[in-house]
Amino acid sequence: MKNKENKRSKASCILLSAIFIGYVAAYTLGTFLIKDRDFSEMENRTLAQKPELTTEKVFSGEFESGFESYMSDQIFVKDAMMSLKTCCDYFSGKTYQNGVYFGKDGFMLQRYTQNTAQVEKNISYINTFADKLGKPVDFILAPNAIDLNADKLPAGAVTDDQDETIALVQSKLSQNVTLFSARDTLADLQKQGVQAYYRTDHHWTSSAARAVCDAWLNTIGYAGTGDEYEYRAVPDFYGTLYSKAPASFVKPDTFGYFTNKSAKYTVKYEKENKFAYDITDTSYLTKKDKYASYLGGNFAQLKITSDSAERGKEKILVLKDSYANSMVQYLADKFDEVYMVDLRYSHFDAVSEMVEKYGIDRVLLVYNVDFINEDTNFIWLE
Amino acid sequence: MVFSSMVFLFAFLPAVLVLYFIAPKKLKNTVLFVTSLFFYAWGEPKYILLMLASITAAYVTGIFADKQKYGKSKAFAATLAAVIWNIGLLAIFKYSDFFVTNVNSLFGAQIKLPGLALPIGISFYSFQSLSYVIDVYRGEVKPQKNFITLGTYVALFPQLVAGPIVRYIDIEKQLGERSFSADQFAAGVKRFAVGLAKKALLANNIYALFNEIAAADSSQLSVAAAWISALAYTFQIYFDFSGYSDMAIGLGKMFGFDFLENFNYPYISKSITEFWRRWHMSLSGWFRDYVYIPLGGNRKGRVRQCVNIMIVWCLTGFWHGANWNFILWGLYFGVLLLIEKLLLKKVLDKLPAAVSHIYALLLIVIGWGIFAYEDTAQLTANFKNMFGFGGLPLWSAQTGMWLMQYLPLIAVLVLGSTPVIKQLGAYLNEKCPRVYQLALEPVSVAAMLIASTAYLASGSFNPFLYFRF
Repeated sequence: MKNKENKRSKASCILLSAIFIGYVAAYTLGTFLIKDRDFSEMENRTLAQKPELTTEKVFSGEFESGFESYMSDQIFVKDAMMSLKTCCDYFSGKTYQNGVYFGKDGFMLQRYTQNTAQVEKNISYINTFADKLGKPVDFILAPNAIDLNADKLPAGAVTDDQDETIALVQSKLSQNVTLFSARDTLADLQKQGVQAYYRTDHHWTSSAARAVCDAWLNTIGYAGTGDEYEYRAVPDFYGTLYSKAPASFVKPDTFGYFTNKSAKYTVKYEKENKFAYDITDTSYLTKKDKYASYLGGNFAQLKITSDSAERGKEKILVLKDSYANSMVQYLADKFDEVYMVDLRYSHFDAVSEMVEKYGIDRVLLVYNVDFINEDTNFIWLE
Repeated sequence: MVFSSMVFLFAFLPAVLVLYFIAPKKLKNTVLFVTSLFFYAWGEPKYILLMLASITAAYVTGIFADKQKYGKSKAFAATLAAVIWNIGLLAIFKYSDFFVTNVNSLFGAQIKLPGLALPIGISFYSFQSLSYVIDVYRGEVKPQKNFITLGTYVALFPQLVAGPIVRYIDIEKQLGERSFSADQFAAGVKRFAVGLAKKALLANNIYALFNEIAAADSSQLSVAAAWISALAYTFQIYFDFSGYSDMAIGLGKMFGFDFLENFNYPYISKSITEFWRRWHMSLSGWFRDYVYIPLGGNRKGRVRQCVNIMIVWCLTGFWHGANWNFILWGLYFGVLLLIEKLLLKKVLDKLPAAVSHIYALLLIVIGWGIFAYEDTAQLTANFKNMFGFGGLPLWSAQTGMWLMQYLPLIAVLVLGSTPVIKQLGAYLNEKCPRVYQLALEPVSVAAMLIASTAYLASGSFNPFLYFRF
């Protein structure tokens, strides 16, 4: 159909054609000439590589689909493209993307939807375990950022109330488990102007972990942590929530950690059969996943001891998610021995037997509400 | 291969453009033919044989369908053979599962489902080949003696996957001889960018809302959300499909073809009759020329005309997919068209424009409600939800959130469903052509291309509804 719009000047024809050819050429050459990446830190996953070209794979379609994944993963300036997409979405009013709200003051908040059935199931596993154990069991339950920072949510945001989940846990929990809700401590901390949660990561800050640990230690008659810990700050921390919805307008966090230089730690990775002699693995501080600098991430079973702990006290076993990783050094400095068990990775060793075997005096559970709400590994407590 | 993929945009397309423009004139069709076959073979190489067989069938029957040369009966036999071949292909590859399922449930038989994978674009290229042979038989075009030229027509990759259904007669000249024009190439670039943006930025994003609502827990649903979901589907299917047609037309222009338009702002219609004059025009045109008119059209009395209309709409529905809901969808429109023709036309003409717009849109949205769900239980549940019989509240907090998150997109979709943006462009082009042509237009084209790439590269939703047709 010829219409008025087709009447264009020569310059316009050349300009439009040049834009198109330049666009196709830039992405084509950029994709095929620039060296392929193996891993995307931003997406935290390995990227597809060039598929093998064989007649068989071409006819089965495997080569074609492999080539499509390869091109999508290795496309020219992919990270910038993803960030551009998030920006476009955000500025078109989508303050909720991929399960994450873009809140006020740069806070990214993960939406919470209570799964009552799963929570009740998880609590019943914990109860069964604690009722049989005959040792003191404490449970530090940490709400997530969306609970304490609900005022930062964008307009119209819908989310369930984690306080209700905490109340549900409290009501279902056996008398043999002492619940310590971290909520009040964290709220106080924020009132004092201390950041309790990262803005771009789903974890609590090291200050939050320490304050909660102090408060809990007091409840069992221990003194809180002393001033032997030194605070270190590492700039440019883009956490897991950022990876879910990466956008160039998101300001990075400062990752902070405490370190006790006067103590010597021994971390034994039971399943990996290796040792480390520091709580922080500083190699992660220069990578994207800075929270993993605590112990190098999550592992099935760890034994942690510190030479600055008073001997002859108690041995403690910690059942945990990643929130506990930033807390464990304080425990190591207080208890004779700390055993950490992550049920996501530790499936076949009965925890009650470990308690027996290692001569554990008390058990501590450290979990965040999202975890209790979603995780399906508590079955391994049996 | 689909246009909205990295493989097409940054591997196939650049290769074809380079090959096409360095090839000497004589070989340009060969380049298009061979690359089109490659395009078709991508992902399902075995069906290339089917494509070649189909082209050969069209070639041979086309030659013998020439009445002047071979006489009426031979030509008729050749045309009949083409009909049997093309309809037979559809029956086997598209409808056999459907037929077997229904025979099984009707007679309690237990015939095994053939389970053939649907060859991409088969509904489009069978109709194209068929139109060519019939047009030869009718004496409207001369048979094409050059196999590659005919192959280029049938397999031409821009319109292969999702149309428009191009009639041979419309591009006969261009298949033989076409010259490059910078004007046409530039127009093609713009058209392609618009189509890509419609697909990647608008259709995919509103489909994400449709899917979010479909996946939501029933405790978050509401009557309003059911309508929002229906609206989302309504927008998705239009921007997806018309975006694809735009890309096809744009690519066609880059290679020197002028395809006919396939959509003409269907959602501004004031009646269902008007809607079908604006929606998928190449398909309704095909059914008009090759089914409705041969059946007698309106020339054999009122009753016969009504029967013809119902036959055509039943087939139109069935063409869209091998399922009862598509037949129902076709019949629904057939009945509406009859009602409009027999009763409502005069009333609609007198109504204020706003009222007839609402009337038409409501019926269109309901139509998509039939179209969207192949599963009968889902289909009825959706309508119950929409009309308040699903036990849902009228509104929910989550509904408000969906609306808020998507309102700006919906506003763009509403605007994009009308000719306003096009008219604004034409106006600006007239008032200040230099600013428009040298700044506004190129910047928008570049922005659309890059933003679309960002969305496609991020691996966001990229479904393509018209794949099953």
